[in-house]
Amino acid sequence: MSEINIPLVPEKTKALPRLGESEGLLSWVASVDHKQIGIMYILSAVVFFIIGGLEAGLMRLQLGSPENTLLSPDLYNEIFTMHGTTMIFLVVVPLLLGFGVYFVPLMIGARDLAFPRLNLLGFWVLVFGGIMLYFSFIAGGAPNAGWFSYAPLSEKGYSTTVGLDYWALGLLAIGIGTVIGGINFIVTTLTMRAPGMKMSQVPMFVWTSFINSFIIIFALPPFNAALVMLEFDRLLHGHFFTPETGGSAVLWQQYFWTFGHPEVYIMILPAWGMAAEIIPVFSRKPLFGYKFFAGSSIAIAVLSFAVFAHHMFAVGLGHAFDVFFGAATELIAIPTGVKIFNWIGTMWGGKIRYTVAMQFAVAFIVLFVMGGVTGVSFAIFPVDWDITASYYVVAHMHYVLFGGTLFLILAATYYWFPKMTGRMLSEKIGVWHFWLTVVGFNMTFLVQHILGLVGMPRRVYTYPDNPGWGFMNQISTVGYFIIAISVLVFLYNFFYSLKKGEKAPDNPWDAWTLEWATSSPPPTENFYQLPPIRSRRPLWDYAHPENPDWKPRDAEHAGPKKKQSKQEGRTAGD
Amino acid sequence: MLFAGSSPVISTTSVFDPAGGPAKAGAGLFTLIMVLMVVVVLMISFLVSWAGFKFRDHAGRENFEPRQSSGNFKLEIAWTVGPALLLVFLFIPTVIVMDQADPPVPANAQANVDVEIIGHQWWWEYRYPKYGFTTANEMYMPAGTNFLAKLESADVIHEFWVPQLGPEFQNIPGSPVYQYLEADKPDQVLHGACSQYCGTQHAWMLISVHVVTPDAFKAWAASQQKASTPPASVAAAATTTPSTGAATSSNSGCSATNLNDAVSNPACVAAGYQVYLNNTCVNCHAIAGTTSNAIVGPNLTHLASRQIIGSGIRANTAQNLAAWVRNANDIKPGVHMPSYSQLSDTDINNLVAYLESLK
Repeated sequence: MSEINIPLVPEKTKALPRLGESEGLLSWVASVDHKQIGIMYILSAVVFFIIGGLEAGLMRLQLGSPENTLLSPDLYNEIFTMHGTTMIFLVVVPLLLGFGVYFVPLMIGARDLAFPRLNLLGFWVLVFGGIMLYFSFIAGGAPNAGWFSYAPLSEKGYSTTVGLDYWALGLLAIGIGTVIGGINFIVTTLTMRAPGMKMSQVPMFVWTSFINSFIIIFALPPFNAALVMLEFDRLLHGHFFTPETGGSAVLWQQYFWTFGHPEVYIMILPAWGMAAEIIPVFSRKPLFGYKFFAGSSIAIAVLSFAVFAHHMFAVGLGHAFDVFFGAATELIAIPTGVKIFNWIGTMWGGKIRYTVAMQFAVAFIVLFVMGGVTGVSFAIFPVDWDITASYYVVAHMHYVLFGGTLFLILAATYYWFPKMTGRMLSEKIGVWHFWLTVVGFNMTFLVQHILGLVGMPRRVYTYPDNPGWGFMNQISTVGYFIIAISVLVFLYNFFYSLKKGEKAPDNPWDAWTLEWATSSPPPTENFYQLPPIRSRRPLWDYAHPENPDWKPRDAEHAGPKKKQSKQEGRTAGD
Repeated sequence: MLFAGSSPVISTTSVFDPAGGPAKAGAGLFTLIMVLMVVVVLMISFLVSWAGFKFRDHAGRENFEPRQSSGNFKLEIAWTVGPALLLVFLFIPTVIVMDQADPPVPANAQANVDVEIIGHQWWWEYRYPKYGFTTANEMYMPAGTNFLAKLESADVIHEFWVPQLGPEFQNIPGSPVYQYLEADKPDQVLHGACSQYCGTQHAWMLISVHVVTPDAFKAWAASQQKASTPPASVAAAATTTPSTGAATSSNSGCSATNLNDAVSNPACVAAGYQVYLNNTCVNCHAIAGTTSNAIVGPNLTHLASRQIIGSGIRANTAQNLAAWVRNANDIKPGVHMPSYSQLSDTDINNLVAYLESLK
């Protein structure tokens, strides 16, 4: 069955305004429309992604052979610090915020976020922080103490340039921007749902963005506080983190990871919500186990604050400490596993269409599980003791952040690009993009597990010519270039499709959530009219009045099935 | 000449090649975990591939409408409880191996330390309190014993990682960590590196642990305890005062014109000793038996007994040492040792001759 043709939107008597039309660039700068702000978040993240990617390229070129002299150690150290800081704070989080800012109001049938001006402020504060961070390169030196800047290396005595001051102040600004986004999502989701939409009926992407926002507002403040303390030390002769004057280097780690661990969930939870939108649509079935999925997200949010010291197993804080955090870390693996099974359960018994979005989403499941199991290996902390600061960790983090979050962001891009721009991305070019990404990504990072196991530490600008190390690093470097090509292919697809892509109808995927109940792109006010909302899939109900989600399903309308199951008596709203 | 020469090649240092009890316990657990990890990945990959293939849309399925199932409570419980049980089960070996891989240290650990491992930017200091000497960059330990190490740092956080010895812990200034190191077989060198980013030359803080028989260890310790004997012909006064920093050797009897000749010539060795004393070397280094006892840089008392210099960046040869002295920053940019290129070639040759006599 192809696209639904329901006249939800009245006949147009005048052309809908295109985004940015006739008012020029300045209209974007000061726009409080969540759709424009969402696009700006995404575009700024793409710019920083290219910068961060070039930094990665320089790193991989330097590491391509042992004792290479392409980059000096000081320059390499600035670059790896900026690569991590950029990708985390200026790419992944803004991408997830950006898609959330665009789609949360649409998916709940709202006109905009609860605080449109605050939304704009959050975006510009983020950009300001990013510019300040990069300004450091020409102001005396970029930060070079790693993205987590352990004390006392980050203190003035050891990091003498202003780089770390730009790092701290830039991140303070970015942190404020992120918290603003979190506040906005919480208030919007709680107060601006369309009439009839219960919390248990919001799309899973909205749920995960909502829960994620609680993590944000509790995790960022400790980090902001730690950054202020660091600046007290660096600029005002404070002693928070300087052991030689009564401070504690370990205290920095405690503060940092109290933020740093929840931060990694901030970087994936909304992406899991994206998977929970995309996989059902292209399997032609609802999300399997909505309630368990939502509940597991809450569990992860709460537990994420209880596991943070698994980054400190090597600090020697005592076995009791290690046992607590090891157990908690194992615990948090369970709700994550539940989600994997829910996605597979969604595909099971479905009618799967392999659009490029679905290809990325299915690949994500496998790649994320690979990253996830290495994560669980760290929970078994005697194992962590063996490889905690090695390339095995670098491999893990890239599998979950790239193979995990970024794959889903790419899936979401192919899924939602039609809605945002009114044009389809080319599926043909997309297939090339997909395979290049899969091959390039695995080639770059799979071998890094082995490098860690044979003794290569992280954050090294070079390494001795140990047997096999040069060869494995070369493979990784070649993989980078394949990823680079895949990015170019994507950018080509993006710009080509913007101009010449097939025009997108309201609902090209025959999906069921409210953003598809309006034009592509939506008008400024989002909706002229909403369908009735009695379940999680208003458009399914509208198109299937004989078998809506809010009616208990019985054998007649449930579709071909061999035997009756105990599900009959329960409504699909559960 | 930048980066002349290269670092010594060492054998593979794998986590799965444990040298002693603690490392074996960790490697055993890791092997179990690896097997489980592979099983889980294969299982999920299989499920995804099977579902992805079996339930794909294809010609002939146009009219098929999948059953709009929203979940299955029993299945959800099963795949929540199942993994939970597996993880609880895994916690048992975790706690058992915890004490095997990182054996608890006694309350009076401080009094029983065999070696203090102190991280510096960017070299390792090793102090042996029971014998009362300090050395640098090469550690010796007896095979078959629980060698109690105390990890500390003189500046920023480092991390003492020797994969074959098992756990790696951080060297944190102000927060010492005690760890038992154990290796079963003598006559091997275990290699490792600093694994916690510590600044410019984090990459070149290599670790070499020489595991020897207990008797050989005692002999090594005894030789390390001996102070050096200053070379015989020190009688001739220096020709210039020390404060100019460019004092030359008195050259009495040293007629070597190149490094190799200087190294084997006792007169040149004596001349080199004067170069050492009369330059700023003594501001950072210590050589027992001389008046120099600074602790900023590596202890040089038995420098010639070491196989590497620069914490592993070069083999310990006269040529490499001369290049290092002339300008350490050419070899290891960022290192805190200043350049001595203002010294004449003769002075450097003689100085290296003296240093290479410190066995």
